[in-house]
Amino acid sequence: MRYLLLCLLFSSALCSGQEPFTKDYFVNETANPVKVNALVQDKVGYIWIGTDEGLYKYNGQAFLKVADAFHRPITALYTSGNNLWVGCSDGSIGILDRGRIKTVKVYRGLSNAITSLYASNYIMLAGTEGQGLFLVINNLAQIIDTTTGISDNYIYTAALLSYSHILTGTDKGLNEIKLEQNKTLVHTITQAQGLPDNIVRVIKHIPHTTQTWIGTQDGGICIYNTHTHHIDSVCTGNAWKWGQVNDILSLTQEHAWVATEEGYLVDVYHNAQANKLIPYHHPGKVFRKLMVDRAGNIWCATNTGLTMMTSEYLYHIPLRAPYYLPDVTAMGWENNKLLVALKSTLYTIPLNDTIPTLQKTFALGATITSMYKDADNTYWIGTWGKGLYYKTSNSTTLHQVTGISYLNNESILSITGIGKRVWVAGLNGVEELGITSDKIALIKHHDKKEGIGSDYVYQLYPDTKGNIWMATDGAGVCMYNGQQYLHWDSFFSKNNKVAYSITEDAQGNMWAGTLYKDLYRYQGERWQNLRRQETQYVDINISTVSANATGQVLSVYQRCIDEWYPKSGYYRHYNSAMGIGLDSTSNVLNCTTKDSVGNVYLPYQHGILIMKNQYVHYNIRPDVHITAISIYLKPVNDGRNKFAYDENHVTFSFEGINYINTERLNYRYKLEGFNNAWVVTRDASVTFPQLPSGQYKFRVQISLNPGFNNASEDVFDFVITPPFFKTWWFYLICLIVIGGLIYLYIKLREQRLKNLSLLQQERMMYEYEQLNNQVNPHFLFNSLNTLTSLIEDNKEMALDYTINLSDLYRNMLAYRSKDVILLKEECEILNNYIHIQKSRFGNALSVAINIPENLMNTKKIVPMALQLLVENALKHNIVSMAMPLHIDITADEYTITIRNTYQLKISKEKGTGIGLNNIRKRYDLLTNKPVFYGPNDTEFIVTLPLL
Amino acid sequence: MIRTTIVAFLLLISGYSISLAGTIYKMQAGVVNFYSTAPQELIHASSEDLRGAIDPDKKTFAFKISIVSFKGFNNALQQEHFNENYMESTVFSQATFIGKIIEDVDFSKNGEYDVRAKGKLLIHGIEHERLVKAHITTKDGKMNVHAEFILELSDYNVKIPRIVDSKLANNIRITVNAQFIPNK
Repeated sequence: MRYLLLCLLFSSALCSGQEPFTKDYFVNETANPVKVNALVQDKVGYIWIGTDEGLYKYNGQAFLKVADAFHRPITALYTSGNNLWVGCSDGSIGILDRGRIKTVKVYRGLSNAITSLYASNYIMLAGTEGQGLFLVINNLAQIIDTTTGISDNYIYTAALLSYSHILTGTDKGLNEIKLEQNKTLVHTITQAQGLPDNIVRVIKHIPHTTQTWIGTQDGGICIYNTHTHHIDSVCTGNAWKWGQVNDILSLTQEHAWVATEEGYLVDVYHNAQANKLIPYHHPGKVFRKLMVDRAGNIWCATNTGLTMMTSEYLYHIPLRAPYYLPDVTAMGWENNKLLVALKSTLYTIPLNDTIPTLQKTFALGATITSMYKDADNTYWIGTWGKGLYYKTSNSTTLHQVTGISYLNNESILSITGIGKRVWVAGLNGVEELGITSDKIALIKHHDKKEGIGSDYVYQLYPDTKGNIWMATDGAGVCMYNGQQYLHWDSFFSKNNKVAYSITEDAQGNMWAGTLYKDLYRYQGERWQNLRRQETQYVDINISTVSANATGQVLSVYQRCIDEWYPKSGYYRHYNSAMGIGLDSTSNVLNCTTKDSVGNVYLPYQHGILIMKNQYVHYNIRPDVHITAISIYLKPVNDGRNKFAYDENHVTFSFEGINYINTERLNYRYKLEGFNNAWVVTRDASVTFPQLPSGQYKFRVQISLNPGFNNASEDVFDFVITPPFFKTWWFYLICLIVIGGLIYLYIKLREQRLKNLSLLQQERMMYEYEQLNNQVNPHFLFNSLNTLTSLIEDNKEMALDYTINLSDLYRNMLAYRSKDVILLKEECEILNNYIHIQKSRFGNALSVAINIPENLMNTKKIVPMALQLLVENALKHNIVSMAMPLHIDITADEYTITIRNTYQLKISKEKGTGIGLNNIRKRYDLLTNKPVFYGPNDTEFIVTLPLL
Repeated sequence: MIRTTIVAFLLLISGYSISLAGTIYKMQAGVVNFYSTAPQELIHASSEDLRGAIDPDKKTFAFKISIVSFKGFNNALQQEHFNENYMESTVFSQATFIGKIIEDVDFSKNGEYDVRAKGKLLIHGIEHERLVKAHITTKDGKMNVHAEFILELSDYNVKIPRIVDSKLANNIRITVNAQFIPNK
């Protein structure tokens, strides 16, 4: 079934003997055909596909549809820098912005489809279907149409050669437009000037020349020289048989591909001497646009989707029976003919035939093992068990080489030559033969003992410096420079010294294929092992190593082929997963040949593969792109890279962009600032939960090979800001507040200590006063006088008086040093005092104390205050029977009030005058409640706060 | 709507041409055939209800045809499907082709000319720019036009159910034959 499918695939292009592989892609998942109108590859590497159903993005693995609110067919695409510009069928022009198409407001009048688009920061050029050319330079828009002088308003294509030089194709010829200061000059070229057809559909500038390809509707292709205005008809008129030209892809100055409406892809080689056109027909397909990606794949936009073509690097020649891969034992090349030995029979395959077939040439009695064409075009053929044959260029008969005993009935493994010498490797060593017109003579026999180290040489290879290299069984690689044999056996492990194949690349480096140890490369002095790490999946027994003329090196395995690009260190890997029928290759050692320009031919299951010389420098390195950043699995859409401290669960999604071997992509990533080690993965996303705040750089790299040298990289820098309680300004505020509090505390404490010391001072003064009072001779004299008279009058009263006097003094001594005392205690002192004074004044003094009982034990007062006030009252007022002194003491919750009759003595008793002041000061130090005192009309009132 | 546009267009070009002394050619008779060559079934139908005009001086032309006028299907059911399922001819009753002739040919001389007609082809309510090759024979003031082209149904949003895609091809071949005489 697979074979049948392959046959169908191959039969689609039968115009030339050798053809590139093609592979079709459906843009839609449902395999619905979608008409593709435009193709570009952007800077990152994505291929953008403009279709009738909108815009798609392709990374080599999946097609992703781009959101567009309008569902317009996309008819033109252009990319420059990081921008992707989109032209639509309704005349609108858009730009891709964060994954969506955003319409650019350019000119409202455009309503017809955009056919071609060019845009940059300074200039925008759009060709339209029927509305002429729309041009914006430095924000100044203008329409170039028939009123300006171009021949028609229906623009098929427009090419911007410079900012003032435009070529455009219409139904009525080619218009060359030159923009000058104040005018627009138009020069129209039609059939009258030698154009093959007036309908010019394609204009493609050939870079670094003054030439442009012109593709027409019905007249083929030509080249217009914008400098000389000369038209070079490459293939026009009736010579062009492949229909309406839809696109031209210029690859080199001499090479282009042409896509046509009728399903042809035409390979065009053009130079001053000759033109060569090779058409490939794909019936039923319409090729609409062409594009080459960075890796050298050619992409064709078709009426059903995409077609990928391998023409830049790989062709094949499909062959049918008697071709049978296991029978192929040797290959050769002669004058555009491929020689293929199927066991003992030699076939030629003329490559100029449209359908190449095997043509039997001759049969030998033994299997043909090797072929070599020398400088005189003599063909040397080695056999298994029948020795060596040769055929000179001017004869058709084969001659067996006789007379050299080593070669009689020898089994030949490899033949090569330098100049007039032919080297033949057999099972008994290597024979160096000298060739003259009449004689073949043995010059030297090389074998194990001579210095090769082994008698079995699988391949002889002459390098460009004149040395003979030998891939041996048991002695690794041996090089003979004419005098001595050089070995690098230290490099091969002891029990593994088998080299199967050896070759030299275009840079002069040697490559060797080995048993078990894969590929080696010799650069200067040392051999480097290029063994692949994924060897558990792929066989490592190389059957053939060969290099084409442009430097690519092929290592052929049983089921796959690696094509190395030595400069970049990457290799293209061909296997059955490519879907082009490359199932198996020959396991015969060194079964390969090269043509006259250096393309390499290899047999495979369904014919011959041709590994082409690559004249354009392609980069097969895969690209990587970070597609999304998510916080707690929610994508961040606004492009910010600064996250809050609680947005620290970060997921990175990335994808590889590669159009060759998507199944072999490896990623590695690291998050600088978190962990500086690379992590290799095949997953396309990674999550970092609980990231601490800080500055980070997420780096992801991609590789096709196990190593990541020269790997492409994408980077995302971001910051997780610290929480506010970890910011420097928060620390600063905290510091200021704490400092303030400490300062306040110290200040308050200072104040309190100051108050305390003042109180102390006041009390000392009061105590001094009290002591003064205690020894007041008047008080004592009066008291003793009273006591004397009492002793005489009333003994009992005298006793009572004495007890009171002593109580007074004892209480005064007990309480004076305290700051405050209970009201009850104060009253005791007062009562003692009053009792003493009452004894002296009798009814001339009346004291009424009216203090609620509950206050006595709860409220406090400054000690001796009441006594002092009563004493003051007695001191300053008249106390006599005629004018008795009333003292009234009342108290409520907050204050105590002392009132006395206001009847001042005429002669003032001498006092120190500090009594009331002292009381006030003492209260001030204890409380901020006020002390009132002063006389009204009849009374002197003192109000003290209760504490 | 379409009908009035066409009539207006025809009047416009005819009016213009007459007033500007040029002759316009009006269709005397015309036949459109279509062939769908699917693996299982050949569908063929034709209509003689083609109308049209050509202005040889201005190199413009206009054609229209009524969709329901197509006859000659394999059976009545097929015709019903054609009108109701695929072409929706009650909604999109007309097909038109209006445009210009690319080649600069003098049709007043007797002779045979291969020309390309480019214009807007409206079918099933969908308009596409098309280029159609035509063979024109002029003899004694009469003009014979023959053209063949391929239509892709998917271009005109004609949906083919999966179940019948072996009976109905995506590519439909159209042939047009028409005779024109000067409009006096």
